[in-house]
Amino acid sequence: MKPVAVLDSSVVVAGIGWRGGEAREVLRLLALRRFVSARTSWLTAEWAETVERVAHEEKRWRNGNWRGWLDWLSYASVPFREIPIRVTVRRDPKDDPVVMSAVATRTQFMVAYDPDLLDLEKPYGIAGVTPRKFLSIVRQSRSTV
Amino acid sequence: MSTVAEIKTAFKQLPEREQWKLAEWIQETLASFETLDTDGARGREPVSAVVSIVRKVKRERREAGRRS
Repeated sequence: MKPVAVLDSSVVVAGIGWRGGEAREVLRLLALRRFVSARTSWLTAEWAETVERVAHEEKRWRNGNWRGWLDWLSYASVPFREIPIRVTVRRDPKDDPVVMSAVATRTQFMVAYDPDLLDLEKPYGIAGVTPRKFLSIVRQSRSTV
Repeated sequence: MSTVAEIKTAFKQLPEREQWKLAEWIQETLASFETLDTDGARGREPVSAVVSIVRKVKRERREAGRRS
């Protein structure tokens, strides 16, 4: 069975903005349908807002086509409804919506660079993993379709 | 529908025409990625700078959500 993952905004921003890193490789595997990316409306809005902010604030940003990328990512990800729950995250409550999205979509993985998400390890049974770890997991899975 | 197994089951139950549409979506997704893949800065992402801005945006969104 293919892995199902929620992509944290940190990975989305990095994958859109830089083409030589592990986050871009995650997006490449998504294009190849090696895993299923799940999204909710909150998460989709957060992706858009964070990419726009980084595009404006980070001097090393070089992708003028970030809107096209966001359209692609939304199109390539499977939309799910939000679920009305309140989740308390031990170290960093700001990430509740990401955890909530993962719970709502019954995702196996949250792929993130944010240490606060990664330190949670397995909230609600969802594994918080770095892009590097996730790439390794996806490459080991041999599922097709 | 909320798991890959359910998605696969639903796919198999689709009429042939709908299966074809889904296959087209997969092809389109890959083709459009190939045109995008040259975008972006060379090299690896500056992780700490990215995480810093992303955290700030998340905090602001959360605070805005509380106020509304």
